[in-house]
Amino acid sequence: MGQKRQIRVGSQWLYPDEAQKALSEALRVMKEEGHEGEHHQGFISKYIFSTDHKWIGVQYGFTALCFLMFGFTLMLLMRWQLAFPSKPIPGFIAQFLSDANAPGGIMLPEFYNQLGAMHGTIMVFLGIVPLAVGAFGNYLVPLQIGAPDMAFPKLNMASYWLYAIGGVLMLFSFTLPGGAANSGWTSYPPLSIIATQGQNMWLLGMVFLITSSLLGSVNFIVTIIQLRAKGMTFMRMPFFVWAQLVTSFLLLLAFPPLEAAAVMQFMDRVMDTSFFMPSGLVISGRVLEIAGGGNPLLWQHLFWFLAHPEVYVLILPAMGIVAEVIANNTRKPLWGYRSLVFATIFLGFMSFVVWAHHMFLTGMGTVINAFFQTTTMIISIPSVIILTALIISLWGGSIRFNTPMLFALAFLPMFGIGGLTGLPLGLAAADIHLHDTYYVIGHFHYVVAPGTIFAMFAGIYYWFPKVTGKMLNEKLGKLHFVGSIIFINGVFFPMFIQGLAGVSRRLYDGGAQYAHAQPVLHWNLFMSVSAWLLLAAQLPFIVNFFWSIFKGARATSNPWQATTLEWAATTSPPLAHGNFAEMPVVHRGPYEYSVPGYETRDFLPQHESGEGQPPAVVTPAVLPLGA
Amino acid sequence: MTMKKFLAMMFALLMVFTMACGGGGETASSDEDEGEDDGEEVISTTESSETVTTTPAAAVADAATVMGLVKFEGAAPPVGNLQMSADPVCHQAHPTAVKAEEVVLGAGGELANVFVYVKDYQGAVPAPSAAAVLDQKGCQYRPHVSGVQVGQTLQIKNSDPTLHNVHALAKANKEFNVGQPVQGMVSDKKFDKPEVMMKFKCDVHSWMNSYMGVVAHPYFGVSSAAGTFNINNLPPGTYMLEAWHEKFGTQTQQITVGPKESKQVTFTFKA
Repeated sequence: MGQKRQIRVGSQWLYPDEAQKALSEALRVMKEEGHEGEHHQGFISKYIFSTDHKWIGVQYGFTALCFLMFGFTLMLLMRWQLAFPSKPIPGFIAQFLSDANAPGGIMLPEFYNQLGAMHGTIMVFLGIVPLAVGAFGNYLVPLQIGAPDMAFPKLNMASYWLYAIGGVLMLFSFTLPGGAANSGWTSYPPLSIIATQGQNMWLLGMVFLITSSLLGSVNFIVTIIQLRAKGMTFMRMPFFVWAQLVTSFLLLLAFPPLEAAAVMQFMDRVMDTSFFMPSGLVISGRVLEIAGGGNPLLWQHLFWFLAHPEVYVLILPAMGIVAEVIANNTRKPLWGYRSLVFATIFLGFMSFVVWAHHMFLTGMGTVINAFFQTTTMIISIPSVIILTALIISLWGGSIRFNTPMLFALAFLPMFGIGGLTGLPLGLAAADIHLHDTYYVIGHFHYVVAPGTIFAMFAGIYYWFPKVTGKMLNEKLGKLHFVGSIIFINGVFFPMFIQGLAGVSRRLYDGGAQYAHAQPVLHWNLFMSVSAWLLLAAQLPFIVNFFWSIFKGARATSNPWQATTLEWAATTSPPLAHGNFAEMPVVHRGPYEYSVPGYETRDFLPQHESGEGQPPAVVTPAVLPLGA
Repeated sequence: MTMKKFLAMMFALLMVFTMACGGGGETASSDEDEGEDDGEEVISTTESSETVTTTPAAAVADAATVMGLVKFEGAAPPVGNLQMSADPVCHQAHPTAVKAEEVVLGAGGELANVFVYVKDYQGAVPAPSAAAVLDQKGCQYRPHVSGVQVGQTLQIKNSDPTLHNVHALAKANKEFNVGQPVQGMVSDKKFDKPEVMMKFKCDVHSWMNSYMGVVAHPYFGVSSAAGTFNINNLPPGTYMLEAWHEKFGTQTQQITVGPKESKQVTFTFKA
């Protein structure tokens, strides 16, 4: 394929072979002329409005980590209220909260609702997706497929800045009268349409975030399809790239309905339309003076049509990262690479026909319920295939228990718990009891917190040397891991117990007013203390992160002895422009570990010919951060 | 597209959305919008008077007094009991059944909870410094009907050991909806426009409601259990009095008061 496909290089359209030659020649000339890594860019175009996929990835990563931390602190505040309902928040924290939110340090229910809605929104849309796709995807996909950059570098920059604007709008909404959005991260009407002004800002923020994701997803798809290095067939792509490709299709196809829905909800709020507002709605004893005739369930359909594929947007890149880390640290080829790929593609398709399992209690009827219940059971199959392949990949491996591997290994059982506890929720009968209880919170947090976020940590520890040229400290890393795995289970496991006892997820006092919640209320303190200790467990990571950037041990270009192009075919960090000193040519699949016949090493990089004596490892030169 | 043009476009886009949002916020004026001039909310445990009294800021030397009586004629409508069992705190606060407060009649037909005010007073009277108080006690508003002057501080207090949310269903003023989860919490509010009557409601306890007349002057009163009300320190002149009752509607009466006169007025509502 691709014989007639042309690529634009500068002002010319060239066939891939010609393009590759032209790029290699340009890089060689630059190198000879001593321009390597310095293109006389100003500070702003290099570090602020950069078009280099690597720097955009770093921008995404740093911003997303800050938002993750912010979203985490919102949750820590909520946990105070749940452990000590209506007791004053300690003064040194309460002083940051206005009297409109916490008079005398006592958290008002409406502020709790803001925290809940914004925790979910920030963690999902401003934290994990930008980290998983924007950061890891941007940085690694071009490197792993042997491309000099993304297909549309300016689109890439626009994607980041739209994301940043969306994030600022979300943060700004806390300062509005009535505070930030407070109708849950799902923003169900009619509640969201009669809510305070913060909801307007939420909707605008979402429009920016969705637009950002759309630009990014188009870019990823085109890059992966068009810019693979010579020899990088689809079945030679690292699994991480496959995960990003399927994720991009999910973002591309699932997000537009929510963008449309967000605009419609915005119109319902500010232009008195009634897309989601029924006639004769009585609120606080008054009939609302609206046109009516709309349907609140329409929002739920549009929202979940995005938000269920979004679950896979959250988990697929994580699986991709875990696969890379596991293959590298077991020193074995991934077990069932093709199964992984086809399971991922199938999972992508199926993720579009399961959305209404979030809506079993809306009275859709048993026929519709049965359909979505069936598709939900079916979609668990590819998930299980992926998890099984990753677990079997461990079998017989000589496992290196370094920090990234520990996080990747922890991902497997944690995601397993998260996935399996989802099955009862996918069965309409069981969901009647479990819907909107803490069981649901426990389920999806196991998927995204000790699941996805642990995978993100694995990725950060694994690729940190690639980005900075420095190694993260292993001792601090292991300390971070041990604290995190203990306390994160302390936070989320008791939620299953509370949820099975019927404690609703949205109570600002954690169920203190309900008789049926009393036997399980004592878990609230346990979970809250675990959450605060989880914060403490992140301190080694934060210290390690910044300390290592400046003082960490220098990394060789391929410290993990990896086979994929981003490690084996370029420096750490890679060249500022063009990524590779010579455009690599790919000869084999991505996981040629424990290759027999080699005495000095046990792996064969993708771009090495492998004929005769194994060539030396690519130049060990290390460039400083940002070069 | 050059970088400069791109940035200009992004900035313009942001401005358009931001402006759209700002405008939207006002036109939406949605149910839970909080007033910009909302007072600070403070924790207070001090007890205060349970009745709202009319205290003009500046007494006029030859001011008159209106002394009124509100009566009801006809068959008394049936009065039901409030069902408070949904919240044990509310239920246990009342050893005996609590009557609904929609119609409170005396033995001789005296009608309580009628808000009477001078409808057409044109002068400017500064708001009193003393705050009016709206208490929530035993899961009922105290008082059930009251008045407050524009610009006067209204202290809304929760005397119950349970959550109340104070939802002011304002039309002329900005609507607000604040939670008071803890006993003794006080929210200070002010209103900047006259509004007769404004309904207060607790969305947690559906039986709880209260009505408040917001007027631009201090010349108003609320009929007591004996059906009587006073409007003090009214400057001499001819005025239109309006009496409002939540079930029986409004009545008006023109009165003329002379210097230092004590004027007797009677309103009679019928079923």
